[in-house]
Parts: sequence; C-alpha cells; structure tokens
Amino acid sequence: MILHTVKTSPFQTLALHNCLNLLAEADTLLLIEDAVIASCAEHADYLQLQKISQQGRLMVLSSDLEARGVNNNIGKTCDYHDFVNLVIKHKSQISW
Amino acid sequence: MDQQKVKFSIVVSGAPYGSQSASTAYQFCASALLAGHEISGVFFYQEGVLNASQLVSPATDEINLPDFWAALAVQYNFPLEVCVSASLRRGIVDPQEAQQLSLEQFNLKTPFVLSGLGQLAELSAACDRLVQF
Repeated sequence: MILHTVKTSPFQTLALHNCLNLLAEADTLLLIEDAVIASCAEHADYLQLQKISQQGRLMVLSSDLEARGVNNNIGKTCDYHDFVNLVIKHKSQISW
Repeated sequence: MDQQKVKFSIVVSGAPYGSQSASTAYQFCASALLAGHEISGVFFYQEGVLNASQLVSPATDEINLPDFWAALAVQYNFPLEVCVSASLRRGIVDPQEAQQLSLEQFNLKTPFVLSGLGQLAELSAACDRLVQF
C-alpha cells in the first residue's frame, strides 16, 4: 500500500507514465506541482488515469490547481491536511 | 486517524528557488505540525542543500524559504540535516569545513547542520513515515 506522488507534467517527463506502470491495486496516486495538469488535459496516459480515478485512487492537490488557474476533470481534490493523512494511511510513499 | 500522533521524517531534494519541491515540503511540514504530528527531522539532499544557505536573498515581496525552514525548526525543535558531500560540491560550507579546506568564507545558515547519509538512515529508522519531495 503505497502513496505515489508525481510532481512533473506528463508533457515534460515520463514520471507519470512510469508510475502508472508500477501502480499496484492498493496504491494511491497523488498529483502535485506541475503534475496536476494531468488531471485536466488530454495526454497519452489520460484514459488509464481516468480508470484510476473511477476506482477512487486519484488525488490532486488543490492549491497547485489554483496556482495554475486550472480545474481538474478527474480525480478528487485534496489540501495539505489531506496530503498528511494520505501519507499516514499508506505504509510508504514514493516521489516520482 | 487525525487524533493519532505520527512522527515524520522529510527528505528535500529541490532548491529553494527554481523548483517547487522545497516549498511543497515546507507546506507539508507546517500542515503536519499544525495537525499535532511530529517532525523527527528534515534531510536536505542533492539541490535541496541550497536551502541551507544564509546568503539566499530574494526580493522583499517574495518568501525567503531558508528563513521559513529555520523558524519552523526552532519553533518545533527538530533538526535540519544537510548532506555534507552534496553541500561542499554546491558551495554550502560551515565554519569547520571552511577551516579544513582553507576557505575564507562559510555560509551555512543556523540552525542547519552538515551531516551524512548515515543521518538519513537514522532519521528514516526513527520515524513512522518518511516523505520525499
């Protein structure tokens, strides 16, 4: 049970792509910093991300969405307080 | 879950300016402390060591992240450990290293301390959750 945090845009690096390849069923994906773009724009891994979202395993940091003036189409928004609790809920965390 | 007190150790590998990750890490720490949790220590690695420079001087209407780290660490009494080999390569030097290397200056900010990867191992062993930024 791992919390994966991705911080770069899918248009910039393969971090999200590589993370999705290794995401296990009990894992959660949290998009932060430039990676929040992945929740509001079409990209190569969007469909897979949508699937994770439907399973309730996709979170997006709201302050980073606001800072970029975008809204998420998929995933559930969370604040730093939720971020802290997500880390507690999962056994470990990986930063991509 | 909110009632349970958790010990966090934090790894920061991004510079205070030019990448967002140090700022994200700071906000995570502040939020965890506000919720009553504990920070066992913060380990600055790779470009993250630049957070420990006392010479960082952004414009007055911008935040000074090294100042924020120092204030948070003093207020909540946790150590700010900085990887020594990553530091020396990037020009972050404490008085002792400056003397040893015959450098005229040092610039490590108080209360940051130079330490090694062994300290990271200790921090990761001493906490409930290790979070990397």
